[in-house]
Amino acid sequence: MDNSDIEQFLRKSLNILFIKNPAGTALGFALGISLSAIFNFFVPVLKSYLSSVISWESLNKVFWISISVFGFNIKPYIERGNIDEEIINALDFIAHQQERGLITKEQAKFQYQRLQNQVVSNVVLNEKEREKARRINEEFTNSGDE
Amino acid sequence: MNEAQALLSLILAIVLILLSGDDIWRDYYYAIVATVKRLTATKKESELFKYRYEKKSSEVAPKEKVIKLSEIRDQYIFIHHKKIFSRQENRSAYSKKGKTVFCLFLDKKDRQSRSTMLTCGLCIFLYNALSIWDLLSFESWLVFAFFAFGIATKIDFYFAKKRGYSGEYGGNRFEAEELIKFIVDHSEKSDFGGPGGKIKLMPDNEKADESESLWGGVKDGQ
Repeated sequence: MDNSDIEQFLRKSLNILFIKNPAGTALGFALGISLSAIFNFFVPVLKSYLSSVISWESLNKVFWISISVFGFNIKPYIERGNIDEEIINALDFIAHQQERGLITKEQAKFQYQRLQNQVVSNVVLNEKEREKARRINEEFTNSGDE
Repeated sequence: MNEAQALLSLILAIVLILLSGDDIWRDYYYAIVATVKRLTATKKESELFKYRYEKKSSEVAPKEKVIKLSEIRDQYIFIHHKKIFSRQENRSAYSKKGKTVFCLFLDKKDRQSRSTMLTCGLCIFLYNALSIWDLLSFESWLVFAFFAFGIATKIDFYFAKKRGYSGEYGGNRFEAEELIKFIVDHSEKSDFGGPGGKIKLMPDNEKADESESLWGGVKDGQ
């Protein structure tokens, strides 16, 4: 296992854990804490309502943080971009070839990157990203570094 | 909460806030001011803001382009671009457009990680303040959880950047899928040339045959 594999493993594990939508999750933490404090403030009032059904004290801050993080992540999860079936098949094909030993790791890397090039050349970026790309390319060319 | 715990959590919050960078602080400040203005504006005022915003975007914006990107808030993207394009050891097979898109991807990841760190830092401050006012009970593990989350996003970005600069990024299934997802999310949504009204990601077969082979001569069974 070389350095590249370790980096890849670390990135995979971090992403699987909780980094798919970090900004939303962090905002979920903030909202969860605020909700918990607001709720704690109103507990004496709430105790007189439904106290036989719900024990209000058991709803601690972990509960509120979990609910908020879930709330902030559910919309991005539903609206996530689905990749075309063709691309998934192509990715599977490369992985399969590598597993069977028909191509080396370097060849697989090259093919993955060429597949990404194909995708890039076939889509039009949205206006915001297009403008950003144009501006950095323009300035970089003008600065004479290229 | 004792004094040592309070001090330690304040240090952790300050570290996260300092690591996030001043451009993110400015973004947060503008976002808060804009939200407050929008919420407090009357109907007449909101129309005036809208008019000013439109006027600004059409007349003032072209003059701002004179300012060098490396000197303003896009300085990080400029650094990524320079490193990816000019490093000798970059061994990626990305085309020029591919490298530019990867640069946009890194910039997004960078901003996302730094804004997460700022939010986590502010979260720790908020938690401390609410604990001092006896609205919440203080638990050290929660402070460390916020800190760990903020730092984890930074570590993730650091490895992505390191791999990108050396040309290693995108060389495995996980990263290839990640970048393709970014491209799909940031592409023009009105591009419905693909099957089932989806965005067309792959070229037609005829065009693919004409162009260079995707598989570089490697076929199943060879």
